[in-house]
Amino acid sequence: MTHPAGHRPPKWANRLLEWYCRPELLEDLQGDLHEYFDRNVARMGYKRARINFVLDVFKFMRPYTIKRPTAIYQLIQKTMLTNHVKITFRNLVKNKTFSLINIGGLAISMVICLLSISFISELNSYDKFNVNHERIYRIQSAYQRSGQPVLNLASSSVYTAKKIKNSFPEVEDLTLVTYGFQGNALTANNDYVSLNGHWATESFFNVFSFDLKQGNPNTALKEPYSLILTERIATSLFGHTQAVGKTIKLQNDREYKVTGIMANVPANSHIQFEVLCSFKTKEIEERNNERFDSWTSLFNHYTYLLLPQNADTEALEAKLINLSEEENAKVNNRSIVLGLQPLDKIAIGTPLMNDLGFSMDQDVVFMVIGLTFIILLSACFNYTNLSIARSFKRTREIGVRKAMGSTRAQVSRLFLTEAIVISILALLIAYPIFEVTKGQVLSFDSELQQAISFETSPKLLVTFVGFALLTGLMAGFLPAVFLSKTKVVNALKGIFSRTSTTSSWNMRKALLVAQYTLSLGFILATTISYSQYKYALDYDLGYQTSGIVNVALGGQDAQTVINEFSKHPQVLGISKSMLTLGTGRYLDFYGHYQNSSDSSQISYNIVNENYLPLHDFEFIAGSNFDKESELVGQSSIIVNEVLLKRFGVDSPTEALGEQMVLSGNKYRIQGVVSDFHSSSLSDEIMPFAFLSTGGFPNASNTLNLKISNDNLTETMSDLKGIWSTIDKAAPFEAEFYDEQIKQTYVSFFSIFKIVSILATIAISIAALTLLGMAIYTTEIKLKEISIRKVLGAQSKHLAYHLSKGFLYPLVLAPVIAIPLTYFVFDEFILTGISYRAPIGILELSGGLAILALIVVLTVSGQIFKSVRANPGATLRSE
Amino acid sequence: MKGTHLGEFQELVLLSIGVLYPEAYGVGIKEEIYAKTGRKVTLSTVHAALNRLEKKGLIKSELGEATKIRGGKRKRYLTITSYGIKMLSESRAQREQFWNAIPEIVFDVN
Repeated sequence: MTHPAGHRPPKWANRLLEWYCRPELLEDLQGDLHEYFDRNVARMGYKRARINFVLDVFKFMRPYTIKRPTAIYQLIQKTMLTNHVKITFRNLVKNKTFSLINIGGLAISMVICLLSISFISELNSYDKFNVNHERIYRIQSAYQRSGQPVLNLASSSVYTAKKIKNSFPEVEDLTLVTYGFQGNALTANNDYVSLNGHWATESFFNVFSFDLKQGNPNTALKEPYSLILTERIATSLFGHTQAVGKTIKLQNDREYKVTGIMANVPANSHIQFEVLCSFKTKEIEERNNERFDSWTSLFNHYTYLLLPQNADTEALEAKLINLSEEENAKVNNRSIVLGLQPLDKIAIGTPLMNDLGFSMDQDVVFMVIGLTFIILLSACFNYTNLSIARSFKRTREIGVRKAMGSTRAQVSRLFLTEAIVISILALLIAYPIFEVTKGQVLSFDSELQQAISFETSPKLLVTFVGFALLTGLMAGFLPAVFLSKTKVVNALKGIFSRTSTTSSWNMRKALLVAQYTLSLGFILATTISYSQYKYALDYDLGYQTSGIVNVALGGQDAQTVINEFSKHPQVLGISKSMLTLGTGRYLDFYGHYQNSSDSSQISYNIVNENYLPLHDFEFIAGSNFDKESELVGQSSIIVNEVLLKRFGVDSPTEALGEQMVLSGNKYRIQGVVSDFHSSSLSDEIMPFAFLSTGGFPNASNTLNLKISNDNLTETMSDLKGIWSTIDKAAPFEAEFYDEQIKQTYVSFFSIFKIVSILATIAISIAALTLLGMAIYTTEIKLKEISIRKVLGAQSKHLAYHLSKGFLYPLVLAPVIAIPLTYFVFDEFILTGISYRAPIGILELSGGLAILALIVVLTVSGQIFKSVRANPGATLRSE
Repeated sequence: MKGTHLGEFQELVLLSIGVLYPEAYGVGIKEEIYAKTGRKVTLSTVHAALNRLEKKGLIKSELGEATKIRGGKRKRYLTITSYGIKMLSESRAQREQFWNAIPEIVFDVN
């Protein structure tokens, strides 16, 4: 080629052109492109000209330029395909061990892939049953109190909904859903059935496409005290679903009229409910609450908009921001910025606080996809590695094929066909395993269990098959490229060109390192997440939780329950509290010490005088609350050290008797306790104040029972019996404090479980590869070993000689895996956590030891077999 | 009437082929259009138009001699067929008709 100054267009683009372009057009086209390229070099420089050339090559891909296969070509294709499939099966049967290792490895990883494919496709199907799902938006609120971080809420206020309804003509329809309708209804057989659901405005069925079986969708939610029941609830209440027009009496003695029966809510709806009550009911109940429809009461109401086709959402968002600014000007210390969230982005999207139903962080979804891909890649490496290792046995076959006129493309197709057949076989094994394990996987997480059903649909099955084909292509790609390169003459003479064998050996080593690295990474991840979980559980919170049972009062009078419970001999003490500390929840308000201009956010809990001694809080100054009965009207608080530090008080005794203003009320500091973890280990220790129930007689809703360790189960069932004499409808809700704390850190445990499963799979696949490689190496080197042995080599030297190929990559793996895993955990997984378990040498070296052990176990068997073999027997055969 | 009607861009290409006679080819036509009208068209657009024109029988092509530039590839030289000439002049006549039918006053106003 004659390009001036050696400036050439990219070779690959040129080749691409030659590949797709019709021969009769090619010469002219290529010539023009080259000429144009030369001109461009002169005009805009070499680099730009190359880019332009590539772009032009792609632009020339038009129907009239693309080659069409001829009939004879198609015929050959078909015949060859049959031949390839036949050869594949022959090879599978011939090398049973390798086939098993390959299919097994792929099948294991495919189970994971099938799980995550169905998981993600199910998440994707969320809310899509709504005919207008693309046009439905939810109002979200970014809520901020001055000096505090922004809270992104999924909810909005009644005020906002009304405002939008009245002054936003571009919104086609709107429905307001208020969370938390609850009631106990009496059935025909005198049982209580608890009804859970929401209040909703009458346009609910215009916006959403829930299936109303009976009743008028336009009027069913119009009148106050109207109820819509799902078929399931209707059946358990009345025994049948013909319930429209009947009345239900709830515990507040109001009669509700059933105005509609709807099909059960689909599992893939983010709004879940069993009953819907008309919003007018809520309005009547809240008529004396002036805050009910204020701009800032935005925690329980969800506004859904139906917009017209091709609505200008940006303009609408701008209008919402204007509205927010207008309203924010009228309130102090807090601001709310409204925004739009598409319905389709609720199930998978950015996490919002107090979401109405199930929602999955999109980052988590990406992580699932990423991990799945890594596992799949590992299985493909396994296949690639073994295929290339085995290739020398097939070089003759390739040579013959090529000598008979096979093109390189046809040889590659042979190897791709093999990979695809193996991948389909793997799918056939993986699918039943998937069906069996899917239930187990869901049981990891109770939230997931409710949200995901893992139903198999025909569409999903088609996706699975498509996925298997893709996997086959991926696994077969490298073998196809490598093996089709073989030169005819060399292959037939039985010569390997040095370059091709060494390069394939290097690549196999690289793949082995990659697999070791993956396995090690997963082992480390398992240990790290487990030690973080253990760390959180064993952490000294600053108070005692063992032997304490927390009982939810559920509206019962505290004193009555205390009197009854304290009669039980095993109950050692009872205290009252508002909040259960250490479980990630907190209450807070603003307060200041002597300087009224220096306010701070302060967490609090309302407790009675038994609480602090019962939980062994450590007093460093002052004293406990007085008896509740004597405290009425008094206002003492007990604070922690961080609070004193926050307001610059040096010694705890100095603070005693001083006054604090909390949320506008005055309190006297009666005691100081040493610091403790009030929320969870994810958060820093906050300034904290205990308030006495003396000032808030009705504020406590939890009893803390200290019970003795003997006969625990008996004591619990006794307590349950006592409870049922007090409250006949509500069940006995009691939990061990330690269990509640465990629940708080269940996410660590979920990570640990998921990662440990992935680790097991990555390791099994790596072990399979190793096994295959070991079998192969010893098989090839059998003669060499025998000769060495005859010449006097010792067994241990031979063993070293054989195994060094597997051991060297083992040194490289930790160098890559340890920093990488550490980085991933440090940057992504543990970022939000203030108190972390240290990642020590023990965890790291332990992981390495496990990996080394597995390598040695897998490889040693094969090596000993070949070292021990009688050289006479192997050598005589020739 | 896709078969007989000449598109605006196709007409331009056809005219350029005429202008460049007898050495009209892909890159040349592209440059010619740019020089005369200032329109930047891509090579692939020109080629697509040439392909259509040739199918319609308005132009014919033959391969030239191999030269040292163009990576040693031969050029495909294009010439207008008599049918092409006919189409061009028809299209011109149509336009003339329109021009002649515009009243003088239109030009005065502007």
